[in-house]
Amino acid sequence: MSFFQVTDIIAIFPHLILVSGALIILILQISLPRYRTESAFIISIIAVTISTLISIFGLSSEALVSIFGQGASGLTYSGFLIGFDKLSKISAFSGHTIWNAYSGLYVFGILSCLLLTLLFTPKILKDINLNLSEAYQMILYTGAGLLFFVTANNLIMIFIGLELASLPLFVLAAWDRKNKSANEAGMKYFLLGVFSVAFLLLGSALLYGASGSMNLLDINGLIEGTGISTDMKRLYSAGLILVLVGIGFKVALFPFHGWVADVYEGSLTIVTAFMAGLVKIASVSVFYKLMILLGKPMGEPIMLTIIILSVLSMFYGNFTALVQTNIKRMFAFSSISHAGYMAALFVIPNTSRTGYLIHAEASGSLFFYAWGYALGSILVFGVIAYLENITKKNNDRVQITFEDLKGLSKRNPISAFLLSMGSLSFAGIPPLVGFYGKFYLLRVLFKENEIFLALMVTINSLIGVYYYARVVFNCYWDFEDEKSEEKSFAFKSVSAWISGISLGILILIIGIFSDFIVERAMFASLNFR
Amino acid sequence: MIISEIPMSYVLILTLLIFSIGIVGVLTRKNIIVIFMSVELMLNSVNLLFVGYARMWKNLEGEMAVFFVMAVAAAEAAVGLALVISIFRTFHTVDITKIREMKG
Repeated sequence: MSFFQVTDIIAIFPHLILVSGALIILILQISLPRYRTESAFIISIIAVTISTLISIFGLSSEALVSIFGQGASGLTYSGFLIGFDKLSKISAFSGHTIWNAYSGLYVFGILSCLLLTLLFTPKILKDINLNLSEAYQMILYTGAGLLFFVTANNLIMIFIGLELASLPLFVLAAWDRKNKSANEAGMKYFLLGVFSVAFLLLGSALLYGASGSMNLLDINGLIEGTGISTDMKRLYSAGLILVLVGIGFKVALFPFHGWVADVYEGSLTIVTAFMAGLVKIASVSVFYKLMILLGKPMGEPIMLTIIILSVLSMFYGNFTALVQTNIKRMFAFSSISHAGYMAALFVIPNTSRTGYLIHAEASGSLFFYAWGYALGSILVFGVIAYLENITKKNNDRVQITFEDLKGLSKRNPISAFLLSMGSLSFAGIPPLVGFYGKFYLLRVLFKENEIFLALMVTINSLIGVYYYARVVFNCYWDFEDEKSEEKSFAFKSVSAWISGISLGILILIIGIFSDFIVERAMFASLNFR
Repeated sequence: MIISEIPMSYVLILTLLIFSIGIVGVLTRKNIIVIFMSVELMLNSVNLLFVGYARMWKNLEGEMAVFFVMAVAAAEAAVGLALVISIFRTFHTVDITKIREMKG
């Protein structure tokens, strides 16, 4: 028996591309005499682009055979556009990692966001004189960690994926190492991150104790099949709650939100985009997977807990966002409320109406909402990062407040336009992606008779419109006297332009194709096991 | 008493005791390094539980988890202590109550 099989490699192919990209950077850095940091950026872009393309178009069996030889015959790696309905599933490392369409969906979501964020990065780092190739390595490791996180099918793999994603992010959060708030943000993120991971681990140990296995599908089979004894059930519930606490920290649900505002504010804004976009989408996916496999078989009490957390997150996030003056803090608190909206979908019961394990519509709209939210926050934080660069005084990073936004449409029309677009998308204004996300979310809630949650989501969206519209209002209408400041352009680098424009276009047009995307996501969810 | 006769509940209680000591340490201490040590205490108490359950279920998954937890804890220590150094350079203190740049 050999330990590694070709299937193992294929199941984690995009992850491996990211990791090898990071390792290539490391080797070139120490072996090339005239090495330049630009090459790190180029290598990481190439690695992320290749793996994004794989996650979109997949790999046919011919391609797999030509890469891996005859051992791979008969396998396909399905991509987002091709092959999700073929019920493909690759189980690797004796079930520790499973690539199925559900995780493939989030692999696609994460990689597309990673690519778009990465394009923003080099100019920002250059402006603070910290454009080191280690940054790109950290970014690639974070991406790989998140991919391991969403493809995990084992409690210990969830832990390792989460840590592989978080440890480089702790470093990136404190990347601006001479800045006090960046250091504080890195420290807070680190301490609360490892604190929450300890809870995740204790929960995993208790779940293991109650069921005798750490494989999620095995535990699910045990719970839904023979069941466990009453004593063990108590252990199981405690373990489940602790695991959800650990992941809830990363999702930033209400009682576990303590780090969000300070960390988002203090870190480099482009790193904030990573946290708000990538980490959110990945941890939401895992939270949902845990709810489906381990949570919902436990019935009412856990659902009630999630409903309470969801509603409290919405209200807390919205009401604290209302009073903020710092725009990054405002978006940080609003991210808590968005976590609340997404958590509303966690309580949709696993339907047996269609005979499938997973409620396809809920899962599809969860992906659409999370992806739209991630795209929006990458756009918003990317634009803010460049605004900070323009307004910075004596080489010190400044925080953008609502005051600074006044007259932005005259000084910097493209930034103002993109920022308002991201904001309106969060608020849920019709042609943008945020509207369609809320639309699908509410449709599922109404269909499943969760009227209370639907009402809460609606009320909170209305509250949210106030502070999101304030951004637009400050950009466009609230002029002080005609300050004759010179015009400046939004982004000063080609790659950031590419990313900014494509994010703008995506946010504008994804809504039109929302039917198609949600349908793909539903297909993917039918293929969950 | 022979080791194999120790009931599982003893292991669980000991684990929860050590874990709670870790939590209390994180919540009450002010020195970053001590807080970090408390977190390590929490992680290691979980290791104990993993080993206990591995013996109870007579499979090796729990034993395997311990190695991963230890390796990750070491990586965490590397990153964490680097951050502590960086904090000390900018703030000239490792007292968490004095590290307050941001308000709100």
